[in-house]
Amino acid sequence: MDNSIYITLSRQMALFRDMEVTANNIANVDTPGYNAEKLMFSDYLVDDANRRKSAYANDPVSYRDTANGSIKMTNNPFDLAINGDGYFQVQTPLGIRFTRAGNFQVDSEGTLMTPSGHPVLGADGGQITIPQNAMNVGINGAGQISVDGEEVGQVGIMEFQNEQAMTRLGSNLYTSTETPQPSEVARITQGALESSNVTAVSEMVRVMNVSRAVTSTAKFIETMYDLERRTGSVYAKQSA
Amino acid sequence: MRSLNIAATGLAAQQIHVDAISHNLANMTTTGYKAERPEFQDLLYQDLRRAGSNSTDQGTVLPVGVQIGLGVKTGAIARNTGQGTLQATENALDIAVQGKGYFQIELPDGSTAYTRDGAFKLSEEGIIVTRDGFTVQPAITVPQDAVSISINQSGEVEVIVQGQTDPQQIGQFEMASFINPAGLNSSGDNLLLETAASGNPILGNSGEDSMGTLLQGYLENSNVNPVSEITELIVAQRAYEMNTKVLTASDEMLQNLNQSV
Repeated sequence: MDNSIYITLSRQMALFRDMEVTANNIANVDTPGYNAEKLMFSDYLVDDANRRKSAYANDPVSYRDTANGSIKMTNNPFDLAINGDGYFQVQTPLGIRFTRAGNFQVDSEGTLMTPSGHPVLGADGGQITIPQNAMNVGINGAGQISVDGEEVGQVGIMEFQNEQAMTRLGSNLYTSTETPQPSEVARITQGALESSNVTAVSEMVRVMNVSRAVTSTAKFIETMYDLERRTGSVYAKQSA
Repeated sequence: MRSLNIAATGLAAQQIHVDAISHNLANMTTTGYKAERPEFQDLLYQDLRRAGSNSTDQGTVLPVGVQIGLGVKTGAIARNTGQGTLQATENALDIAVQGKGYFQIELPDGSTAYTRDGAFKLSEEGIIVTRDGFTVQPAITVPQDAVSISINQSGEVEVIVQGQTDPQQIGQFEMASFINPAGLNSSGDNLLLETAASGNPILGNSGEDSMGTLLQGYLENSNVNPVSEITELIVAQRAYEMNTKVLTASDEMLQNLNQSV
């Protein structure tokens, strides 16, 4: 049995997966702190009966583009953007999680929270409380929070050795098995949000490429099928 | 085929984005209106290969895995509680708040609502009410023979009565502030309601602490910034288009697949 249809099929399945990843990037083009996901394909070599090697398309990894997204000014005092590598720490019921989306709020007790209601943790690992009657909340580059001139806490920024080993959990959260270190270099900008780092142009080009490639592989499968059918009919004629 | 559904979540999110922008633009000249902004989050992920799992029996591990995201969702619609600009109206009962405070309004059912809209009127009994006729708390009655009303920055209301020269104090507005004003529930008619998220109102007179001060003869405009709204509209519209493109491309891919078999 000829392998070519199955090899093309593996390519086609890879293309569909590529499309899913691209669709997710485009759907999150406006999600603060979102990092684009990229797929890498490799070939998967198999010996066929004739001792030739056939290369099947295989998707061994998808990696996260960890480049900083553009910074959008919002002038909201609790909107924080990280310049450089690093993550905010967030306390969830399942443990500490990490995020780059700095669209925070305070709750009825004055605790700094994510929009999902998870408290943001400070550099010391504790929750951050903004006192009632706060007039001016200033957060400097190092994350130190001063309320009316008095320091009340510090937003923690943590850094990972291997950011690619972090797992996405959805809701802008990440987790990792690695123990993070406080970041020395990352700076916080108050009143700004980091936009998604998805580059719309390259994603759209990918959509087109994938779509065209599916057309050509489909055409190829069709041709192969046609070829097989004709071979069949030739044999049929000869044996008749 | 996940990409069809993923593109659909993107379309739904951008639809909400455009809805929020059009609501903001529609309320561009609404007194005391605070702009709203949708905040998006990525949806769940499917792990096809999990990073950190063993790739051989020699103990080597996969440095990265394959995670496929399933789209986007709206995490929250947050209200920007920043101060709006002030507009002079020269109307004695137009009051603007500079700062965090809210006026307390008694609703017909006896509960209290909060507002930044200080365009007040007098009822037929001379009580200071909102334009819907709800009493501003505490109820302040202006005497019928008052010739002028003055309201100072602490919210004290003074009138000069016909035939007198000394002003007479008839009451003081009590203001409310919230630790998390973004958590208040909009109920329409420029009124906001207390929620568990906003916290209990902190009552006080204007001029105290963070309450802010009152300014007579002015109204607070909405804090909608038309330039940023239009920019956001362009972003939302283009993002919507891109998701449509993904939808069409995914559809074409399926179509090709169907034709080849």
